[in-house]
Amino acid sequence: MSAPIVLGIETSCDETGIGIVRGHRLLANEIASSVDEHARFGGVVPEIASRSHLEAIEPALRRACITAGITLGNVDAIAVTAGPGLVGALIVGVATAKGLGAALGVPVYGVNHLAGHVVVDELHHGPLPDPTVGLLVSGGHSSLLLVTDDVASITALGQTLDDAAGEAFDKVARLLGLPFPGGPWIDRVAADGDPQAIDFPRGLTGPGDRERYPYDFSFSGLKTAVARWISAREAAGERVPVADVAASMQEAVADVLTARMVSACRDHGVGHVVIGGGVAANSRLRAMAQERCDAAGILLRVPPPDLCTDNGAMVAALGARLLASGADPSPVDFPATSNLPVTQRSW
Amino acid sequence: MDRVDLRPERVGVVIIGIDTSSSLTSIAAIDEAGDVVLSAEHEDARRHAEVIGPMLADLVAAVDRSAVQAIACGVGPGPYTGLRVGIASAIAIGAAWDVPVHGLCSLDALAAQVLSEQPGSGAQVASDARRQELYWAEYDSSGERVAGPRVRPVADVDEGIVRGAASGVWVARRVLALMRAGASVAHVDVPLDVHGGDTGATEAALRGTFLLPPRPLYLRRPDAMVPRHLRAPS
Ligand SMILES: [Zn+2]
Repeated sequence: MSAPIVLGIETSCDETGIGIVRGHRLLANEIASSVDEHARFGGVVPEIASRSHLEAIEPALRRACITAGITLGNVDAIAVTAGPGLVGALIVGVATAKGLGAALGVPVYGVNHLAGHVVVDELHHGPLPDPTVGLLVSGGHSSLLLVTDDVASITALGQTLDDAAGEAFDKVARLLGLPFPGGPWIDRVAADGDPQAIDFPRGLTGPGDRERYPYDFSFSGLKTAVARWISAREAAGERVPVADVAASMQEAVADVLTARMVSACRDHGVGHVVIGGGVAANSRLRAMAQERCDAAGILLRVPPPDLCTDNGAMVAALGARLLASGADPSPVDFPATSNLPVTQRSW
Repeated sequence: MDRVDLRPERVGVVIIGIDTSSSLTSIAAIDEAGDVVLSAEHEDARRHAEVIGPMLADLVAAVDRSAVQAIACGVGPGPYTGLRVGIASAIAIGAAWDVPVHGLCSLDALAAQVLSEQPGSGAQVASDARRQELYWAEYDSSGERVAGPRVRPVADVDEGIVRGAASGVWVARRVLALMRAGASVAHVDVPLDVHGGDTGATEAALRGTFLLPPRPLYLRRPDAMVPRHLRAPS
């Protein structure tokens, strides 16, 4: 008997994602992004995102079925992101999931987006080792998670105290006159820069911070330091070396993230780490994570970029895991919750 | 999909109607005579996405899926977040059962209900648009929309006009009537996404004699507000 087919729906931010899996096998991962519509506002506009989700969801659903070579009638369960995220955006996915679940007569799992970012790697590298440390970095989140008990238990070891890592890239990109979203642009421009050119501050590395915030992040000071450094150059009538600023800023972000990640593994005796979220696509972060994990004897898992950014496959992967473990479906009146805690894997 | 599949004579015609353009979550199923097979309503302006789950489960249990000919959904105008719940659910059911999903201006459903109770006269109807405004439209005695839908300040609208909310029953009945009349489904190039300020185009395109695609009639531009935590320095 082949594994059940699970359809996953993701609408927590600006990507409309429909993923279809059969067990650990990825059958389809359709994504429609509204990122271009947000660009001129310099950030995600919730109402624009919500409108886009409703426009995009049926075409994405149809494309996913065609790619997977199935009809909706073949689907054994639905999983949908119930939080955390923008509530108006989440609701589009939740209402779609409830309509599909009722009409198809299949269970619906309202699941946690953050847990999805961790579990999605099973589609690429097979079952997650137990325990695993997860580093989630994107425009919406920066957190270090400890994943135990076969993904039944997820605890937050630390998170950003201010900006998310992706936001830091967006803000510095704007200071440098680069487009939104900033991450990919910083990465591209940094390739021609010297990462040691400017010694930007690493947040939470002052006296006492290591004890008080062992696994947390702070990126707002970095952004301020970059802004100040640029204005000083401009005030002196000097040219701003965009590539050097980008490379040095990127170096600071990657340094902090990977250092915290390795300490979390070491302190908790964990030999495996998985990185998820859009910032996982950053080339310097990936390279530095690999170097430091190799040196520390930690096995690093990073899914391919289209599984790192927000997508439906990660939701389907988590749904498949819940179904396989015999977890109860969510109650039919489950809500969309903007601040769903990471400890709650599903409703 | 350009044309309605016109088979109203088929025995057991059932139309499912859904509307979430107001604080009501309203769903219904009607038979070929327009009689109510099932109707359920829940009033809570903030919980459409929650309460529609159990309501849909009851609906599916009560209707013969093979007899369902169309899903009718109110496409507003209505406050945005709730409005999208009914439309998303309708789209999902239509996709799952492979039946067409027809949109209807929610005020048309409200007007059809009002005119059924006071035949022979026209009517103005309105629903709550928040921010001291109403969604408003006017109908002649035959039920055809002659003005609107439009966003109007509460103070500008006669006190006597009917303010209310569309129901799933009347969304389904109005769609059934349009299907019988051979109404065409509007092409997607009808300017459904027009916002405030362009009402002339809306009125001309959408006199209420079309079945619409299941896309919201927002009538307002999105608030271009980036939440503080997502905002970049200017
Ligand atoms: Zn995410």
